[in-house]
Amino acid sequence: MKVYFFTNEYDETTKQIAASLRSSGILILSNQEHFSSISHPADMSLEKMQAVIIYGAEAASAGYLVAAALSQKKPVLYVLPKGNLFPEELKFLQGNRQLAQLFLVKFVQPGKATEAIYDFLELLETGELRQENVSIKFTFRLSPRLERYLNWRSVKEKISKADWLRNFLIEEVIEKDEAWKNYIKNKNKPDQEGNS
Amino acid sequence: MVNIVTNNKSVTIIIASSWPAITQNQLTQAIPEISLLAKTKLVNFSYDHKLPAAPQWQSFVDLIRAEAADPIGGLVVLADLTLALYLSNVISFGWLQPTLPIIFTTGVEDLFFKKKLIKAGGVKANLINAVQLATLAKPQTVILDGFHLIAPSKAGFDQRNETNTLVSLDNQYIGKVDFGISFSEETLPVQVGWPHHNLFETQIQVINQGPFAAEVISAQAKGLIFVRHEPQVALAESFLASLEVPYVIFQPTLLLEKTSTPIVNYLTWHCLVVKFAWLLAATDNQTLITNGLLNPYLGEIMGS
Repeated sequence: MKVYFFTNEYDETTKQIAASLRSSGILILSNQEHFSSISHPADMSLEKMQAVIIYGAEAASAGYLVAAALSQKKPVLYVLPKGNLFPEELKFLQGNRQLAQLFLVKFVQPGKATEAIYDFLELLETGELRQENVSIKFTFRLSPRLERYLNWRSVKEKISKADWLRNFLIEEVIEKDEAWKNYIKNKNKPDQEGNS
Repeated sequence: MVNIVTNNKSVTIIIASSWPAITQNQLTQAIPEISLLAKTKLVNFSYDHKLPAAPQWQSFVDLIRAEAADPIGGLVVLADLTLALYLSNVISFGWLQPTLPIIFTTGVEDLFFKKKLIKAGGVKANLINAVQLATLAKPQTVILDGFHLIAPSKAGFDQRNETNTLVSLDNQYIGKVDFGISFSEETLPVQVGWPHHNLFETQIQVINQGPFAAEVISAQAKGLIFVRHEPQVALAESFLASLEVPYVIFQPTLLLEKTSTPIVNYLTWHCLVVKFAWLLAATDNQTLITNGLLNPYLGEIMGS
């Protein structure tokens, strides 16, 4: 997964955010070169990121990035130091259900951002912030019986067979699989806060 | 390149198209993210597409100047590719020194077909970037298409790329979009001198050069543009000397011979048409027009 990390700060919290991402196997591209774990070739655009993380109290410098990311359906985590108010410019998002689903704000104490990052990554995998971008092609063969069932179900529910199967996998398999949820949670958890 | 930051200003969005007018509410529903960037006002400018040199050029300049009189941060004009090329040149010449950023962008048709709405090259990304740019750029007229900021006088279609995008034909860009918008530190050169007006001749006739060119000249034409596709086929100098209205020959390829006739291969097609109409509105003197075409008001002369 590739994440764009935008910040104007260089402190314990931002270092911790970058370390948390790296320890989760996330590739980082950042406006601050020292946080990037991938180079920034000419064709590396926002379109190629799976999510955006913004840190800092200067909402004015991030509004454009939030708008650009949400317009491409990229989930956004906005991390703010505790004590700051929710940026006025972004309050509009709270009233827009469609955009709010992709936008998460977390207020953190200095140097205590790790939990927010892991929560976000977990949500990307399992929760509302997951992307609905269907891009992986997977071919498998069906028996006539399975095909008959899918045809019948597709007509009955007025959706495509592929959509019905995807929904079934998410709602009836993944969301009910506690072993999988534990696996994702443990995979994203650090040994200790800030220790990556 | 200098990174720029966001702030929240008012931006007027002008949709110039032959499509039905849309409302502010429809635009906000289609692209709600714009609300994060600026307070916007929407103006529809219905365009009939009789190009080139449509009578609406004049009224478009008037509209832009009227909207710019409001206390706003900048203007965004959304149009299709061809109209954006013409109208951005119209504003570049018709208002040589604008007092605010005027950002042309493309993809208006996507609003109606609802396709490409979430792709970087589509109208959604273009409009978000354009609104952002309008709140921050220097007072100048630019085209934003995809990832590029282009001087209107240098913009043209990318012949090598199958995607329908605009490029700078001299490969020099004003800035780029890349996780934010960054500008080259250079400002577009503007040379104010004769003529300094916002009028455009509407009676321009475009003639594809051929053996019957003389037979198709309209009696109403106030200026002629001959398009010369094959350099070796020249119009007779005696024929050109007999013309009663100013003319120019557009030749997109290299000149093969020296000539005293006004052959233009140093301007883009859209820039030439607009600049010729602009010069014609000031004079019908062939020498002044030939010299005016060579004068780099906006740095538009390519290969110089």
